[in-house]
Amino acid sequence: MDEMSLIRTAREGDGEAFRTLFDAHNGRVFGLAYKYLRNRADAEDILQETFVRAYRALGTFDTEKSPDFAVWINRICVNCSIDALRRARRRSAQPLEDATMSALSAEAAEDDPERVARSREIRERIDQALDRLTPRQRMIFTLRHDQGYSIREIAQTVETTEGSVKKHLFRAVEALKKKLLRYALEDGYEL
Amino acid sequence: MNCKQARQTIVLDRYGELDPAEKARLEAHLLACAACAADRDETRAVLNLITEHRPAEVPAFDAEKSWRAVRDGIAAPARAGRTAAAPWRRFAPAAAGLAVVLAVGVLIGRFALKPGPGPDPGLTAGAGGASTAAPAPSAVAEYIRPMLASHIEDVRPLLLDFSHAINGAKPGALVSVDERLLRGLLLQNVLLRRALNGNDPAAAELLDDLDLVLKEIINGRYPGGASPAQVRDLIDERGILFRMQILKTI
Repeated sequence: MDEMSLIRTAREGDGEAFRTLFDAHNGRVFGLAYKYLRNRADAEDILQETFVRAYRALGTFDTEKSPDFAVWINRICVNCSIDALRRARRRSAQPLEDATMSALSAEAAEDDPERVARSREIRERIDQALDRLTPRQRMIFTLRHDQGYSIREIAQTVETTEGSVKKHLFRAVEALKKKLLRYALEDGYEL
Repeated sequence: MNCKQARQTIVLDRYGELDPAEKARLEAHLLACAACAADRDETRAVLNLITEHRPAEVPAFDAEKSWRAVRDGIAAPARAGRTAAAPWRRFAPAAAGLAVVLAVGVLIGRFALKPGPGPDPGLTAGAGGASTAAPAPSAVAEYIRPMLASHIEDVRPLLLDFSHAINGAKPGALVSVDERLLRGLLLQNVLLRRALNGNDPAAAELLDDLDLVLKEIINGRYPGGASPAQVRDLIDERGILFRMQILKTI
């Protein structure tokens, strides 16, 4: 059964059809949420919230006019993730994300302490710099830099113009440069 | 191409987003402009630093467990739906709302409509002899603040629903609300606003914004009204959820 047929069937209340859609897209949705929030538990919450919302909004999905289901579900994931980041920022300062922590502990097991300490410092600085971006800038940067989406795909996903995506991406990179250039130069990253 | 354009284009070039003609224009500018060439090197250096120090892999997750959570999440409102107005199950029952409205009405009666202290009949003529004297600050703290907190609790779930609205959602597609309850919340809001009567400017300002949002939500149910995404943007722009949280905790 093709995806549009699955959507139509799921809309009529067929749980198995929706399960098939979930199976086809859950990896990408989780990956996007994880890359954005840098925390597995939060990404799992976003995955669940995204599909619950998607199910409830299936009635608004127009199989003729709406974009691909993948783009549509990514949009929901993007909105859920941005909301989650905003809520987290309002609650308190972000702890060091667990992606960084797990990478550091793996590294610590095999490398020399000086290199691990330097790597840890840089990762913390990167996380701090990303934390200072607006939620939207951070999402656009994540989609482009980590997920490899094209500017056009990002514009479709976050429902804006390509020009707006370019501006946000430029501002995000400029902000990151201000915070991180020193570390890049110290570590000999010039090209 | 000037330097400002070049610096924006450098980022796009790093991500392979330039067509050959744009790339040629950028290269020509970089050959002639040492500052922009240095900027390109710095941009590349920082982005490479990020790439190298950000773990690329995504951890494994339990898809089956997530599916069970999705299934339960989908089933939850359907079960509640049998009793009516499912998405409103989180709101205080209508009776409780009515009690708040009545209590605020009593407060207005006590503070805003009591006989005026001054002898100037010109000031009170329009209100049939009643004054618009503000309640004492102690009354605000004692009576109105708890009601305001309760009102915020009633409105917050509705606003949270709208704050999650996606672009293109039709009114009622993601957020299902009972219009009578909406109007009840609006009335509650109006009465609280009047009860403040010049006290507590922060609360008054929040209630004014809530008044606007509630009206937009009600009007959104009719042709030409605001979409859920527009209501979401309004909530977001004015930082209403954040301000509600602050006021509730003071």
